[in-house]
Amino acid sequence: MRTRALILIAVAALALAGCGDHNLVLKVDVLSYLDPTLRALTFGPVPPAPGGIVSGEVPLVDDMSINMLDGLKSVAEVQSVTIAMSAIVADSTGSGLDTLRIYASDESTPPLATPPVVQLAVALTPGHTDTLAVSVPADARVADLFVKRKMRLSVTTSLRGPESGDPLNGRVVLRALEAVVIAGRKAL
Amino acid sequence: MLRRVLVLSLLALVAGGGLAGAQTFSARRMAMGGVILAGGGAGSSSANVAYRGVPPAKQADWALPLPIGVIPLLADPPQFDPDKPDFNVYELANLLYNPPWNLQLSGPDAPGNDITIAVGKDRLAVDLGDLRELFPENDSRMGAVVNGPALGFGFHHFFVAAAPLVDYKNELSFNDALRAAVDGGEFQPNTSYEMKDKGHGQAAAGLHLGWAGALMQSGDPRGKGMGLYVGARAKLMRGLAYGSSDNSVAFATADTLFAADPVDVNYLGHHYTAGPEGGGFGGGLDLGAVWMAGGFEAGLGVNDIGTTFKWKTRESIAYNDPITGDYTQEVIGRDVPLTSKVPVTASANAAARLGRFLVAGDVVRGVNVTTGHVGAETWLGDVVALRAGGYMDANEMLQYTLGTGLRLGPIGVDLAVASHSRNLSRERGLELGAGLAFYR
Repeated sequence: MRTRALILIAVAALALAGCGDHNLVLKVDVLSYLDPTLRALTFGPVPPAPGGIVSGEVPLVDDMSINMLDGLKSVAEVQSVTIAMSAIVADSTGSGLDTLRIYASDESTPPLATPPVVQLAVALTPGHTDTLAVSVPADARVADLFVKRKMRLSVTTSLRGPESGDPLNGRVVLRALEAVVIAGRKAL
Repeated sequence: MLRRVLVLSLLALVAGGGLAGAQTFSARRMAMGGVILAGGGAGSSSANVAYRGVPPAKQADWALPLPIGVIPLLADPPQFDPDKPDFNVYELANLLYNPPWNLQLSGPDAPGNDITIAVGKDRLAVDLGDLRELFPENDSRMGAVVNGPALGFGFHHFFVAAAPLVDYKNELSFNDALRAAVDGGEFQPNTSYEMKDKGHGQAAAGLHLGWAGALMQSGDPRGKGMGLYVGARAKLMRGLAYGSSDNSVAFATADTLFAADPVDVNYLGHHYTAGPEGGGFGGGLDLGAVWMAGGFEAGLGVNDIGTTFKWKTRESIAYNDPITGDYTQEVIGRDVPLTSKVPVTASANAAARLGRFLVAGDVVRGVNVTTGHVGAETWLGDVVALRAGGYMDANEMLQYTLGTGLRLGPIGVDLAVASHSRNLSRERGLELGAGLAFYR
């Protein structure tokens, strides 16, 4: 991907060299990098237990490498990054909690060694199907990742089963995972 | 240093005028569509050396162009510091296209939109917005041979002058796939994308030695007589700077645009450069002829016939390291002999007096482009001149001009308004030119 982006980067540099209010908007469809089989998690049956059975953090996507647009960092300075995630949660039986977490890191750091970028807590209610969404601004560390050549990504799920009643059965499908990077001209 | 010499030379020569596709500094000529002025005038002898031999009209004038475009520039100078928020490369580029001599009344706004790049594992698309206008629909070609203002003197029909010369040419092309992507289409898998850029620039200075005069003349050639005038100008030049570059960037996408392995991109550049120390001598010839009879005149000028320069260049190649992705420039030869050629340019013009109107037209064959100009002038009494014209510019757009002249005894004022497309986005702009005219 390195030099494929040359022309884009050149164009971006040209665009950003104009008036100071020009922005480069980079929309990264992170979900598209995930294999479709990894975008959904079917869970259950999780039997009821006092306090609920806790699965711990289970990788849904385990340390995947994502190629980005190399060279962007040399011409653009990231002003903000917003990460948006949405998921469809279908609960057939039982109740419980699930927490989806997205981790992102640079090439040399394991994603799970860094704080989660996005965290989406889902309350599971029997017979309900909900679409949940979260959009959060990312910190400087994450913002920097999106203008690098490569980043590493992990998605985990943490399930807590019911304390009583029917066993928990359900399915979580990641519907969207997108990063929107707003970059301005970098001082030369 | 080399690049600086070339750029400064180009800037100086563009400011010096005489380039058909550039800003016209004579308000009279500008008002008449930029046409080669009948009987000789601003820029005429540089296009057709024979005009040096045409006898001046009885009321021949000389003009002093007024740099009214400097006023707004001084009032609101551009920002040259790229670190400042109001730095605007479009403004600077358009300033290069339009040196601040004429006053720019209107022009395109700098592209003000954001650009959006959408990236997915199998998706890459760019929305350039207004910036798309910066890329011409077809291959981008530009170039010119600029013979700068000659400073010298004449003795009888002979003349000698010192003059600079700048020649530059560039051709940028995309293959269809890349063109589609730049136009907003998505990058496709299993597709080859390629961009080629080839260009050269050279600057030289030297002596012009020439002769221009009448081969035959009877009576008053501006009246009922006739005259045939010819001229030849030999150029003995010393090369100051040379640079040529031939670049190719190509890559092919795989089944998946953003697959795990980076795409191999092939970049190869082949460069020749020389500074003043590598410049040799060169020479060429300009020839021209003007025929005048019964109020009609026709001229033909051909410049830079056989103009060549010899250089001792540094030859280098540039390429990308497929492993690291870094770019490397490697000198593969020093004092490599190279002979450069200046393209032949030509102009053909004609003018006629039709009653109270002077009508003129020309066709100018430049580098990669042919332009045409037409213009007319009439005087109301000896006080007010009305002028109008039009021209086909280097972007193949029809432009229009209008102007007037006011004469008060020996002094006059000329004003001209002209449209043009000398800007990055090739949109129509409007400029005002002004000058003083001094009459005998």
